[in-house]
Amino acid sequence: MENNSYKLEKLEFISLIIIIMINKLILNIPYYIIDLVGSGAIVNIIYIGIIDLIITLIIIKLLDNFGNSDILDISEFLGGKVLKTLIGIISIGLFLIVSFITLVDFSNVLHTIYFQNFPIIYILFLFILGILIVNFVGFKSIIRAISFVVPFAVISVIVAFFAIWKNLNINNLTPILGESYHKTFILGISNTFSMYIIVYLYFIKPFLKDSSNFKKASIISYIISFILLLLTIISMLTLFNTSSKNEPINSLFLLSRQLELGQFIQRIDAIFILLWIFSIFAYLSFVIFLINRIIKKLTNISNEKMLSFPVCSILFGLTIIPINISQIHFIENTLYKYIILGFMFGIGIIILILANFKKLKH
Amino acid sequence: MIKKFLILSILIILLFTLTGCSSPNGIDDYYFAISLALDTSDSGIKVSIQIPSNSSQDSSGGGSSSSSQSSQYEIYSAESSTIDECLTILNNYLNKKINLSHCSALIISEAIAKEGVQTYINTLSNNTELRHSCDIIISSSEASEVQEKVSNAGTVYSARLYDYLTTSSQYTGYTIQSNFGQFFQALDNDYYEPTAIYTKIFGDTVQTIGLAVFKSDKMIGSMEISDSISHLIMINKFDTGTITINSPFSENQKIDLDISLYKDTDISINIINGSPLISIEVYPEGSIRSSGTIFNYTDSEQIKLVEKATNAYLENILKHYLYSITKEFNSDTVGFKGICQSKYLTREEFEQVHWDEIFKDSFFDIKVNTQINSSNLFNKQ
Repeated sequence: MENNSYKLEKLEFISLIIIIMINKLILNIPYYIIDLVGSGAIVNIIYIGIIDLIITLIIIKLLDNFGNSDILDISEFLGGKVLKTLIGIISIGLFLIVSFITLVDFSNVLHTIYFQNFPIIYILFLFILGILIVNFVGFKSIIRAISFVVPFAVISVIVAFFAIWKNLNINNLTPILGESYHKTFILGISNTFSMYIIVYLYFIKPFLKDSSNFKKASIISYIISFILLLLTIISMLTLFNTSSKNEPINSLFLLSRQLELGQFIQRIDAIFILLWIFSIFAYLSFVIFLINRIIKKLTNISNEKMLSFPVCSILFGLTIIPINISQIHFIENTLYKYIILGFMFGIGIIILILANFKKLKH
Repeated sequence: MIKKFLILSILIILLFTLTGCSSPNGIDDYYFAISLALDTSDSGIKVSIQIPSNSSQDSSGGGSSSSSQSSQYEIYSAESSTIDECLTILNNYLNKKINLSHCSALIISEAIAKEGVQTYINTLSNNTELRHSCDIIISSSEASEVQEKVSNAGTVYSARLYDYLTTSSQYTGYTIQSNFGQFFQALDNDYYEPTAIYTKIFGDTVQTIGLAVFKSDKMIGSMEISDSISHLIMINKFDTGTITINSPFSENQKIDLDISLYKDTDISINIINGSPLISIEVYPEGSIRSSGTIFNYTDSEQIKLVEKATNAYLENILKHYLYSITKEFNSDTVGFKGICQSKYLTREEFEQVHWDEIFKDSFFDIKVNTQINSSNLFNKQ
């Protein structure tokens, strides 16, 4: 077994951030954006993209004074062990919810689309088993898997955009400001959660081999993630009418079903699904690794790999709790959204600002 | 390293051998329907499936299903209250699961279409097997009759069985391409109304006779073949087609022209005194296929006369189409609403226009700019 002290190269860091974004694209986030602001989604996404970029730059700047520390180390510096434990527990809760939603949602999609006669518990178990094995092998394997998957996943989003080009209905993009100014610019501000890759910036700086690359790598990955989100939103807006009351379980899948390369190559959605399985798997492996790392920091356990067993067991236990589609919808569209927003713009930034003040005083 | 690679390779190869261990889905467990027909019935709906016949397939059975056999295809029907229930009855009757992944046509009878198709389209859109490229065909008579007539057509290649009804849109313009994906989009779209191929049975054959026009999910009428050309020109989907115009040189003679669009149709909309003024500019280019007995197209004056006659012809059929959709059907099959709303910044502002109420009062300013580029093999005869 390899050591988990492996450090990320710049490219691996960018791949890691992009895989997080791609998973959000797979799991219907673009639909929720469109659902809220309608045809104003393009303006809204540019608007929130700018806001999130400013927040990202502020976070990078605030993290600058703490070298290779993450939010837990900074919390410890600010409020001692108590604050560190508190933030640690909140973070574990956040990432458990993230992994829970990702796993349940995607397994449901797979079950509905391809494995209707196959108990969903098998799908969940196979994911958990894979995550467990990869985490047991080590961080380097997770990163290598992510670096391998990312180019294909990015290509799939770009292919989806260009392949449906002939069917694009440009009138679906109008009125350009959506329902109303209020909805696009005031209510639509909650769409800032879509760039939730920012949450990970609080945690992954210590994984970087050369921390001086943090700013550059973060901005590059932010821009690539933003472009992918924008392309997906444009594709969906032009294909699916915003006045429609239909809510697809997975809008990117519906988009991929429309893809045809000439008359001969049809139903290429199967290739997309395969890629997405890899993406979800790679992403979840990293999230579980992150939870292990946080627990390790809180408890001073020497070998975090063994934590994979209890964490994966808890996740598996959570996912087999029978919940219906409306409950998943509530967790995904309300609870999850506001927890992310609270952490991204609330707790995280407040701690960083206060810690910077404290550092200045010292 | 080599050892690892070898183990990995062996494991990957072994993985493929394991596919046989899984019980669920062999190709023998399915009947692959090549078309699905929906008709009205006393129970609610009659669903008919058309499957390629196979001597090994067992056609005996019971229940509320029935079957009729032709030379190459068999048609099975079931009546019940919903599509899924009908398919379940058929699954039970046939002892195999019906799979729609190769279904190339969804045929809907006019009677059903006039009652509304939203429920059926929603049901089928939930079916992951059905392709978006599956053609939607509206039949003036019973939909299952269309299946029978097409079965008798003698075509062996089942995947292309219904293609003859749609592919001619690429070179005649006499029909449109209406597939399930486009129809579903139009049905759920606020900006334009759905259209589909409208067919009629003539003796032993099924032929396209124009367009089925929908308002929301209900069919409200049909339009003739020449309207199909106009529709395609308006939505910029016109590839190429042949039109016949009166010869400007001789009263009793006709000129055949191959036309296509050298530029997308321009549409602009202004609201004048509460009514939409829709200005349309069309850019066809044509080549002369046949032109009677005497002609000389090296003479630019003669070309101008042909262009003028073509303009008049196209203007006429476009007007017929546009006034039909506004005055007769009040159904925005082109998507003028989407074009009009693109002038507004927000939907709130656009709603002040009350488009749905004023659409029927639309009036049109049509300008056709035909260019005759070629006279084919002879310039002078």
